[in-house]
Amino acid sequence: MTDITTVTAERVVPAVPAARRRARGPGGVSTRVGWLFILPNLLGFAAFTVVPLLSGVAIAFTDWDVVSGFEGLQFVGLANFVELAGDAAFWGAVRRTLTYAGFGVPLTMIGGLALALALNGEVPGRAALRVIFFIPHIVSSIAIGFVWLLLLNPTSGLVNLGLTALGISEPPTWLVSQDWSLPSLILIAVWSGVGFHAVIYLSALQSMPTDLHEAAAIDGAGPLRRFFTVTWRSLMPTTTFLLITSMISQSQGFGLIAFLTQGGPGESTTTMSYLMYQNGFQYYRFGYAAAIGVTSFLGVLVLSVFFWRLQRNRGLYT
Amino acid sequence: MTRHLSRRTVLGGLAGTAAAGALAGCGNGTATGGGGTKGGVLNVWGGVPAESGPDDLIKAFNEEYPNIKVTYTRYVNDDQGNVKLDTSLQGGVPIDVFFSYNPANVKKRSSLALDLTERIAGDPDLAQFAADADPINNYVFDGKLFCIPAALAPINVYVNEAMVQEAGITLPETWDIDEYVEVARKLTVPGKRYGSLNSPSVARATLGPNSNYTADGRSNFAHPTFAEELELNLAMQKEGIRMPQSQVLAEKLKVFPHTPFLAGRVAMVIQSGHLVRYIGDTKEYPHDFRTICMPPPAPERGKAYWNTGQIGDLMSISSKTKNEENAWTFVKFWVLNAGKYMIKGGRLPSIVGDAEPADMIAQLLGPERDELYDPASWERFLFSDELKVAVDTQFAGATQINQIMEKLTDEVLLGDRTVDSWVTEAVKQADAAIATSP
Repeated sequence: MTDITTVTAERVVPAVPAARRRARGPGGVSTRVGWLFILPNLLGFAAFTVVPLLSGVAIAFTDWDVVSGFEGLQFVGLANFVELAGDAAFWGAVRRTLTYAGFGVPLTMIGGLALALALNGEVPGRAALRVIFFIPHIVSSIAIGFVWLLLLNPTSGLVNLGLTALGISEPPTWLVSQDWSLPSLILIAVWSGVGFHAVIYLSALQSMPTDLHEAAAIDGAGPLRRFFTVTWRSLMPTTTFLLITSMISQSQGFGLIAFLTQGGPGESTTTMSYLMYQNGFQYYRFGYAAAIGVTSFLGVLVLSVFFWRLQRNRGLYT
Repeated sequence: MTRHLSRRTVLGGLAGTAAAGALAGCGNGTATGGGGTKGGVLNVWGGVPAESGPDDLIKAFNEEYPNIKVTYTRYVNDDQGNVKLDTSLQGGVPIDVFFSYNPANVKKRSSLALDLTERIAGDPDLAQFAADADPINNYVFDGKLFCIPAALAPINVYVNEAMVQEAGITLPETWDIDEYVEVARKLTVPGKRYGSLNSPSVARATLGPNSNYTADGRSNFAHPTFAEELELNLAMQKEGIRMPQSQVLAEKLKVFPHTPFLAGRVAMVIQSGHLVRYIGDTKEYPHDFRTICMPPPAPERGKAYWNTGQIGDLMSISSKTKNEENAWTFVKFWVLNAGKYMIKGGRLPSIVGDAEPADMIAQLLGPERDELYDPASWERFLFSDELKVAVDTQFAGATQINQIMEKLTDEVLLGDRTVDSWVTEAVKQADAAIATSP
């Protein structure tokens, strides 16, 4: 039995010459050529991602104002982080970032999924609708900001004119209200993100095997049951991907805030990213700004790992 | 009263000098910087578009000094633009002369700039900018000067003449805050226009230099004039004679205050001189009224007060320059000749130089000045003995403090904070900003 197996194995997998094995093995010619192929990209990755990332982390432990150059870098240990811990502005920004992402991400995902489910069926003009819903994702945040600035103008904006016509005598003042500015920004972020989410969900829906649905239907599952046991579980990897990328993107949301509210009125829209910008580019406290950045990075990393682990073994595929 | 100013007289009463002493004039034509004519290339970084004056000034400089070639690079004077200038200066990009547009930036860049104290002190043409001048006309840091101001940017009130005539009002030549409020009231047409876009200053106009700081360097927002100013704002807003802050913020009118004025939605705006750029642009902003220039109202009738504008276009020489003499020659030439070449871009010079007041007004207001402005009112304001701009000497946490004040003030005017709470919070936050300032 052993002999037969050995013979068969020799026939199926011919022995690789030792010289070629050396060439392919670690340190071999092929490996070196492989490294050479990825070298340009690796250099770019190192120069534009690894070095800035590590520099950012290093700067977080310094007091640095840029103007004084590298000679002006003063190592301050954990002082920036200690100051952050006692900084009410920082904790306010953390709270607002969590609110912004905490409402914005699920609403965008629910909206995107609903849209994808609607477009997945036989809808007249489906292709055109997909393009229309995707457009906000490819439009610049400044253009989006302009449109919403006009729409949400407290006195002459279409939104409030509509609300007034409906009999609401004192509609919200949206971006210029401390209570409504953050919800307004969430609304805008959701509006601009739903199309992208819908397209990703749609591609997942369309690549989903139909036999599971058919089997579930034969077993007597209704539409709602089929959605939760088949569709939703099949979409788990897509949902996880969208959840993590949206969370990263919304926790770093800056463009719309900088253009529409500059963190105000008051501090009602000063999120962590805007606070970081203020401390770095306006107050020249780059060490402190980097400390905010590192904290934000760690927060997003922990949440990403948490969600990643949470979804494991919950989908039909992994 | 309009005065005829001779060369090298400070425009108006720059920084409280009241421009009384006309310094000795010396000849006609372009004022020269003197000094190094060795030749070479100078790299100059500024925020004013080259076509709005710098090109003309540099051309005149090159005629005077053909062996010094000047390359002007424009940087955008915003957060990112300023960081770009800082990193360029720090990183060794060839820059010989650079402009800053607020004193906090000069202070920040002092380690990247040459100490000009001795040069300024040794030059009689620039005596009013010396570190020991009284009153002070330059920004002094630890007894040293790192810049020289080339411009003056006072605040004035822009008034729609047609609305004034329609309301049957005769404007006085000077006024106090009560009179201003009364005029705003008369110019208001409910549902159609507000008498004023914003409210006059009480605190800075009363306190003058270093108004945000106490004598011992802490924040000064507990001073009653700050609360008084907020109460005035609230009262005008409540009465409907100034535009509500919610509308100001929604339409971004802190950045674009000219739009409601030129559209006839407000009758008066308190703002710096740069609005003439928009008033003169009748293609983009067509309008059929003339604009009167009034001084900001006095907090108290008959009492001297400060204009809330500032000295600007702060010129520095990079500490890394290899052309120090040429750079100084250029800086001095610019300061002495800004009155001839920079006014068309809406920038008033810190020194009048050879320019005549009437010529300056003509340059400032453009060829259609009689159709668009009341030129006499501009001449009256800019060359008034009463005009004095406060020059600060304390800057700890200045940028942060300005933002704190702005945000808290917005909150009060939006009805989300009381005046008392503004005072408490402003003192607390500003003191913290001072304590942590680099």
